[in-house]
Amino acid sequence: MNAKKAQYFILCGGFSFVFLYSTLYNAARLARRFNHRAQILFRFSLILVLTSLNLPAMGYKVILTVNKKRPVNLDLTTINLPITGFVSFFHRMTGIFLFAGMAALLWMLDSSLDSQESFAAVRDASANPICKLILWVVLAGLAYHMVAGIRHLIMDFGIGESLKGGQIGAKIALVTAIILIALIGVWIW
Amino acid sequence: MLKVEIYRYNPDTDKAPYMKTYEFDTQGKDLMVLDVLEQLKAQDESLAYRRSCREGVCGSDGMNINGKNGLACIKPLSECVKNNKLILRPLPGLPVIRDLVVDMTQFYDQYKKIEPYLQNDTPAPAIERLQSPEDREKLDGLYECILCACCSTACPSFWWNPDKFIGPAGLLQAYRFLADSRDLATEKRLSNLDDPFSVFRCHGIQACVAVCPKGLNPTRAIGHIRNMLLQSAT
Amino acid sequence: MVTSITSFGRSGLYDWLIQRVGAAVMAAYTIFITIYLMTNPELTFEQWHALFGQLWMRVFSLVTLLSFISHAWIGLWAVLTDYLTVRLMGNKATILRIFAQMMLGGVAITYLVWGIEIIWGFN
Repeated sequence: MNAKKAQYFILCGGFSFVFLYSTLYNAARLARRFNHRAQILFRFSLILVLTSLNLPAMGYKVILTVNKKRPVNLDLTTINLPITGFVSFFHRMTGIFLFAGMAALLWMLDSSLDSQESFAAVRDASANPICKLILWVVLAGLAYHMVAGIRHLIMDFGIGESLKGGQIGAKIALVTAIILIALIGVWIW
Repeated sequence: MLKVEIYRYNPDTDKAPYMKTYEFDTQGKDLMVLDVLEQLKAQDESLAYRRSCREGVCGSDGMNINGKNGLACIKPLSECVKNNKLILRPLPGLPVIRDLVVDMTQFYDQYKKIEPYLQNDTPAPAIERLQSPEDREKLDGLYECILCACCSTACPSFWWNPDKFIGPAGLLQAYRFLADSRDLATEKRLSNLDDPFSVFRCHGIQACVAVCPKGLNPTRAIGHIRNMLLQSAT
Repeated sequence: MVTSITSFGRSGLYDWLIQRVGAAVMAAYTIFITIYLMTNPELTFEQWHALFGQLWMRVFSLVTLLSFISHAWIGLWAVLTDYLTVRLMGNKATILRIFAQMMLGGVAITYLVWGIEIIWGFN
């Protein structure tokens, strides 16, 4: 049932209740079977019964108006994200990635400490191009997350909270991260 | 001719919202976005949007203009039109009632939560509660908010949790009362904010600062609230 | 105010502070290891082994590990409660979110046990 139908239902219901009420009341008056007090009681109880009958219909209408599924404009491709937003978005993405990437780092630490042979294995593995790539990606994520995180900490101290300051800070963080990631690449290869 | 694309949705006739393109002749004038809307409405009466004072004071005509939230009445075409195109969409994240008119209930609910009124149980003085010029200065940059919702609806944290995160507009006002020397409910106000959502969903994206038509800075206010929480809790 | 929650410290400020302190510890650890590796390009197993055999290094590593676990839990909890919500995905979101939080906890505990084994496990 849609809102229009509900309105119709309530209107018809209302009219029929008024009609019913006046007919019964007038019939009672005509029959002169009621004294004054009985008349008031009759009228009052009739109104009570009729309103309570009508209440669910009224409630139904309220629910319909509130819950009617309204569209929401949230097509992210149409909304400009400021540079500060990009920095924050990548911060989150690298954070999620690092939770998985930590397995690689822990494996390296584990093997490097286990024995002479496994230490050598880590060294050898870091000569393998695929392992190099994995290590670079994980360390790149770490470098970005760390730089963006330090920017966050600096902002927590109230530095760079203006519109300009935030944008400059975001640019500095991006450039620093790119330089660090490049340096890590040079170091690995 | 300027191409104006407008988000259209009429709940009685449309199943889903759609974009409608209008051609508009600016006659070489740098009009405000609202002027364009007014003239388009003269041609197409079915177009719905909110507006009132047309000078950036009432905060009625907040909308997404070429991807950025702003007030249509004080946004000149020269500042927003790109490639001869003007795209108007309703404020992001809030339910659309019709065309560019959104349901602001969620936004107001968050505003209500921070109890945006002075709380002071001491007997009221004969004339008024006085404030030193220095204390009064602390409210600058806070009281000017017109509640247009441009900031909160530009904030991703508010998009995802509009029922739990107070949002930049509400938090700016929360700090406006925390910073007021005449308000005595500071402790209660702070304890109402110390959960992982109300304040701490702010990740400093500053989308709010970037769009505020009054040039206010909710990010800084949120930082002040965090510092107050830190001082009272450690 | 939302008070019934499964966040880490169950208070916004507490989570925020733990995440920041943890971040500072991890940054210090990362910088330390980087400098150590750069100043010792021809690192041998014995040197490396001796470094991690010292008590202070073990404690430093353990504190970093704990920082990582809490920092990641707070951050990922925020991610899950942003995107896996009834608002975005309907009613199935709650089950999905609890499941994801359990997975997260499982991985976090695995990392913790594995990490402690690495740090304190060798002689």
